[in-house]
Amino acid sequence: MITLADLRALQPLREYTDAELEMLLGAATERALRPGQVVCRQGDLGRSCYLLVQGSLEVRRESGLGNQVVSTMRPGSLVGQIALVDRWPRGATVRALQDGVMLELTRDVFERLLAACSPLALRFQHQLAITGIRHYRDALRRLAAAPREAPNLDERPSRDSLVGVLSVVQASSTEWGLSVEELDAVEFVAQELPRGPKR
Amino acid sequence: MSTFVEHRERLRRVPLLSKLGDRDLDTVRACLRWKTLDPGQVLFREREAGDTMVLVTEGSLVVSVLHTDGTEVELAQAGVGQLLGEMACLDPSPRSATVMALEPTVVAELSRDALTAMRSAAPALASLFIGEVIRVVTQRLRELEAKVDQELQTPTEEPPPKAVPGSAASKGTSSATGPAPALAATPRAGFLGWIDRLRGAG
Repeated sequence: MITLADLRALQPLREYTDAELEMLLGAATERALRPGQVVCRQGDLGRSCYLLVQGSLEVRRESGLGNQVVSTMRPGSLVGQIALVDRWPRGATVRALQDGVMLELTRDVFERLLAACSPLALRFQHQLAITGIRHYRDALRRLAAAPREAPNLDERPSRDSLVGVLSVVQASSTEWGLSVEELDAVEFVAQELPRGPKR
Repeated sequence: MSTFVEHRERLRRVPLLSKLGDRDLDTVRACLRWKTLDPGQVLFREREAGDTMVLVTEGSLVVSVLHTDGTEVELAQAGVGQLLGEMACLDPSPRSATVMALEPTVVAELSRDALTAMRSAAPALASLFIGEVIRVVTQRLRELEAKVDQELQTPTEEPPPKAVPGSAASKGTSSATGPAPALAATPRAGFLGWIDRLRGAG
């Protein structure tokens, strides 16, 4: 069970008073996480947001840049709040990387916190703003680093890149018992190949 | 009309503050500093320090960032009622973009200290500004994501399928009859695309 001491230990919540953390704890529901568990999926509508208390989460976004790991969330991070702010579909898929636990804040609770001006509400709003700002900065960095031109598909892949791909493919197809044709349905992201395939 | 009332009326034209009464408007006004910009004058410069955000009350500005290849990329234009500079104000960090006036422009500036003071003296007003920051940043994030999708989508390549092993039948593997030439009109995506190119190379 998540206790006040667990929340007290989270750096992003250091400015909250004990009473405020108790209120937050009372308004939220505890959710256990298993490795690989999907917390939210890109394109879905948002009904809740989450405060990660233990474990880590991987945020992946499917975009013009390919399927990228946008960030890895550590305890104290807010997750899934963006779709609650603007009511647009989820902008990324979030998965648990390990066992963990988080607090779920439903849309109802979230909107009450956003509309109020109590010290707790203001602290929460400030945290939301900072979280949004950091997401935006990350997105800016990705855009600034992205190639200005679309990659030339007619260009022959280099020998090194192929050796990397083929060794991973060989290992994975044996592991999964897949034929080459079936592998066509598997997503390949070039940057991740040296670290092995993701599922 | 006195400057006092003039400033209050200027603030009232900003949608964020349009519903406030005179007393609240005066509280906000007391926290702000006015700045007038000539066309071409820079308000914030990317990478420079700063802790203020501004509300545009007259004119318009352009927001741009320097790409790693040295070109200037225009992100957005901002007009009356829009908030700028809120990121460095709330989350101490150098300016993430350059903001330049496009025409004679007037902005109302709110510093980090003034916002902190507002939080304890007038929490409802501080919440109004922070709430606006949350909405603005969320909207910009979505717009930036859409821009990334739009600009970097390669016209000849379909987005990779979201399939998992076992659901291969859903994709157009049937169009792949034998090794495709390296310069096929529609290169195949995924692993078979790599194989095509390998075969074309060999």
